[in-house]
Amino acid sequence: MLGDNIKALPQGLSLISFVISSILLLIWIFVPSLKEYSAITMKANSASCLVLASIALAILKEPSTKNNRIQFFIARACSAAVFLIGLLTTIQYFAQIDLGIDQLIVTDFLNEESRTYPGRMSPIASICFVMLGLGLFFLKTPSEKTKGIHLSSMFFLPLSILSFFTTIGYLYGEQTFYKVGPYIRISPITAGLIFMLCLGGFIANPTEGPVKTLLSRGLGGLTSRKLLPFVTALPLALGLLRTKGEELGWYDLQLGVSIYAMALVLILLSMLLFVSNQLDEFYFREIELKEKEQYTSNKIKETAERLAEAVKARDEFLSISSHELKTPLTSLRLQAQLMKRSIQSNSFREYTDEQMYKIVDQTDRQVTRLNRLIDDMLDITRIRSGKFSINKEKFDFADLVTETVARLKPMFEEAKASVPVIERRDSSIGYWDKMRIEQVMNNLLLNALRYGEGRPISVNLIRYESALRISIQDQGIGIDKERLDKIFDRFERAISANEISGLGLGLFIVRQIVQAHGGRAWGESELGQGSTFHFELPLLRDEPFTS
Amino acid sequence: MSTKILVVDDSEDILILLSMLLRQSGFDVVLASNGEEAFEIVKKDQGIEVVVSDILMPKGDGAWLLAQMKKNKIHTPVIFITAGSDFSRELALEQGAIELIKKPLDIDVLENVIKRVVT
Repeated sequence: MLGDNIKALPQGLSLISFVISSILLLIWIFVPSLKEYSAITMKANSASCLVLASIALAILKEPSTKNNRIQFFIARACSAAVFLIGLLTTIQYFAQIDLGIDQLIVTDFLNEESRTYPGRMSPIASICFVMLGLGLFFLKTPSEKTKGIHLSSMFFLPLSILSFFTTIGYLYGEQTFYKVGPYIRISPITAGLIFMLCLGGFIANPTEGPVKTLLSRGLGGLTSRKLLPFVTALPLALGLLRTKGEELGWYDLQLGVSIYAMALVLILLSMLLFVSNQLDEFYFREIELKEKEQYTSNKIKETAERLAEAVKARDEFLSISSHELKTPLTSLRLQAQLMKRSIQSNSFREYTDEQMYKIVDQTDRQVTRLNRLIDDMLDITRIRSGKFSINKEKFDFADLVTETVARLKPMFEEAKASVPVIERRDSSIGYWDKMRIEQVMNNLLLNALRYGEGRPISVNLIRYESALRISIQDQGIGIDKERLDKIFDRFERAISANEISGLGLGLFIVRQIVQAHGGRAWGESELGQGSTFHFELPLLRDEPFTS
Repeated sequence: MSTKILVVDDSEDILILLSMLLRQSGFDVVLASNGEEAFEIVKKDQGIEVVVSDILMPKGDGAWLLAQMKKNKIHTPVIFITAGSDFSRELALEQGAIELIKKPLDIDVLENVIKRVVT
């Protein structure tokens, strides 16, 4: 990542600075014949300062430096030496004295500028070294900040501006940027290396100052890293083009400045748009995320509500079904206990045949009731798990109705309702699942008995071209129109549990069976006016056995 | 004179069976198929010593019957029998019942409770 590259910069910068300045120092000491060349107008003292500063930075950029006391001591000693050399030279300039430090290492050659103070570095360089020394010295002080600015930054910041200025001066040929008064100029190499070390010093302290933003993982860090090369290199290059172009006669002042200004505006504008675009993208992504979050949390809420409803329905079903199962079980248990006691007390033979028949018949009916409840519950499980299958066979629907009614005859008598008679008008032969359709008829007839208040119940068959419609009508309590479709749902009943018993599964199963045949089931009713339940089964002409 | 018991249940089967069993044991049994019917009987017949009543019934459930009896200062002890799971013994006692027996009930248990109540 770019961040890691930037973190490795101090190492590279200090290495470059170290190599260049030590070569120049060695030349001063060992190759006096090369002194005169302009490349080495960097004085021996400046070269020494740069070597020392490079060593200090190389050591200090490691985060663990503080733990290694010897290394830390060396780095601080180097920084202090840089500071001291810079300070003494500055004092020499201001106090107009000679402390004899200028030619301590080597004797200078004399040219126009160095004749006044042989071997002495430029006043700009001396001030730079004072600040560089201090900045490096305080590089690892704990961040007890002075109003947000780290101690080292307080020296690096002006230093970077100063050294940058002198570098620019050389780049654009502006002498006042690198030469003060009558004194010797600062060498371009010195200025450049000081700038580099200063930069390294900034980066070596990545949790402080401008580098903090540059290295941050946030949007700001990302944008600033992307823009950094443009912000620094482009204006410099443009400026260079502007001055050099005019020098070369490519354009005059007016044209040059206009082009320069225009180019700057374009660059700044494109950067502005880039940053705005980044911010916008971030902003809209944030909004989108928030909307998604909202959507997800709504979905979760909905699901939770549905689950809670399902759990409630299941609990109710369990409570109702246990009640429904226990009622026939109670009869069975009491019957068994009656028998037991009769046998014990030898009163068994006192029962008449009719009484005996009634007891056994009761047992039989309770077992049938239990069996039907269990079958209903199993059907629900099958429907829920998708294992509900239809096995079609050919039969006459009217026969089936007659059979079912005949089987339910005792219940009709018990309910004091007359047994319905089916008028056979059209052929009602079809191709359906006989057992399932019988279950449908059974459920609807039992409902009619249960809610019919003992009044007559009628069954009607109507044959349409492609369907057979069966209607079961009672004249009982009826049902609210609004609840009419709801009672086809699972666990729904026309009236509350303690009025009439039942699991609330009958109509649900009816609809499932009819729909599995490709038909439909519905009800018509009004409160107090009785109910009619209809279902239609398709009559397929091309069924294999309908001929 | 034998103890007179009023048995209330909406299931005809259970009514018949309970009456047969209790009569065999020497009780005098009166039957009602819902709360309203039962209330009319206890109001008129002062001789009833125990009421055995189902809870979940159409036309006046067990709780209703109990409340009506309390209102009319009829203090005949009531034993609840229920197949439901929602009604706890604590709730039944709180409402003023003597005991709650869960269905499918054991006739021996019922008779023991009746005897305990009568003596």
